[in-house]
Amino acid sequence: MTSRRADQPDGGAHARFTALVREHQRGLYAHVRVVYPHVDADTVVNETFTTAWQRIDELHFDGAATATTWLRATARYIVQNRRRGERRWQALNDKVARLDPVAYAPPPDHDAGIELQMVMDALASLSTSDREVLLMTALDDLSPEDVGAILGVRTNAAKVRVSRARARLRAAVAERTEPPDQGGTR
Amino acid sequence: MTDPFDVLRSHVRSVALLEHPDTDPDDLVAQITGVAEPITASTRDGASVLAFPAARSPRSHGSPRRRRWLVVAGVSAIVVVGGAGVAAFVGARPSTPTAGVVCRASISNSSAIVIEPSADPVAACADLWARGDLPEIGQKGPGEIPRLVACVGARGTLEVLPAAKGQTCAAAGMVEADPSGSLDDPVVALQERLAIDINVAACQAIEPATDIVAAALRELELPSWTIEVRQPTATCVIAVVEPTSTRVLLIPRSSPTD
Repeated sequence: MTSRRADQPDGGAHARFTALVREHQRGLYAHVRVVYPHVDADTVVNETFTTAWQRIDELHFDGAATATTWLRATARYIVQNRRRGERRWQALNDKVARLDPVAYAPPPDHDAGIELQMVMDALASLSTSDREVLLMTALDDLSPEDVGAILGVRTNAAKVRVSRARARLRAAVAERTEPPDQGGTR
Repeated sequence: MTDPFDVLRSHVRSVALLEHPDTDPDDLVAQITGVAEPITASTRDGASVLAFPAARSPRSHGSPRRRRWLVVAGVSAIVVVGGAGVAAFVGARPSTPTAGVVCRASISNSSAIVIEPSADPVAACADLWARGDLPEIGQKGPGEIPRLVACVGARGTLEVLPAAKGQTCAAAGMVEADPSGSLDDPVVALQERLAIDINVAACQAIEPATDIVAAALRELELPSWTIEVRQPTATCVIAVVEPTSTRVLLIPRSSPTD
């Protein structure tokens, strides 16, 4: 095993780290921004890459997917660490509000706008863990293996979580589209 | 209506396109490498150098479980996902949990805390006991962990109960949880999904029901499963999962107008 002084990182490590940042900074930022909208994405991305730099000797990714999931899992860990100090359900609505459709990408027409608002309302009514898997799989085409690696669960469990979350989203939207109960009969 | 997930996907991808980090990648590299040092073998053996236990194993569960706290005092605390339909169609696996996970304060019908399903519900409940959140909900208890048993309630909840030595789920009128069953089992998820999407509806027609089953089988990666429609002329159907023959049966039910 080669050794080097901590204050003299070798050129190879620096080059690998630079390549990692260049390739993944934007995607990781989008992931954190969308999946954890209540945190400061720049700070979390910075801390994630700081961790990557500190561990650069140990990080040997076989492909982009591995680096992608490692960075997302580490970012998630950092977000959770920050969350420990917060009140449990603080700013839950704010999380979704910061993905406000109007502020970002106005839908093409009125009906689409209503549909999107309904989906966002339904999303806001779900649990944090459902929202997390829905948002991360909506943003990126992640395989069940990827989701499992990010969440720290088995692939089967990840598959089930995604499926359940989608079903709950559909049910929450359906609740909002059903006509109100007219009578009191049962 | 479009699948809500497709609407969400399209929206978050639009959001992501408009979002940019504040820092240029090369500036970020300079900023990080200028102040932080890589951890080398020599520094790792020393004092607490690690700011984060990074590179967690994907399979580890080092982070604290996030729980949805639904504290229900004094009465039976049962949450049934998707309504009674879930319980009605899980007959093929009577001892497999299908709804939420409940940590009970005692074996009697007492206070309970509903938690999110996890890979190890007994460990999750033990954690609550250790923290003193049970048996005194809302007031800290002694933090002692009793012997815990996992049972399946009549409505499909997995209930983790404190039990004296030799005491079993039967004492609480329940059955032992099937150790091979799990809330992460795709078959359980299929049952739950079909109960929510098909069985709780007043009337689900054959065609959309078939589409829902096909989509669920695809999503849960159960390609060898088949769908069997018992009576093609039926107006309304319900779905019954048959794990032994890996089939989903769509059987007739009376329509609301019958």
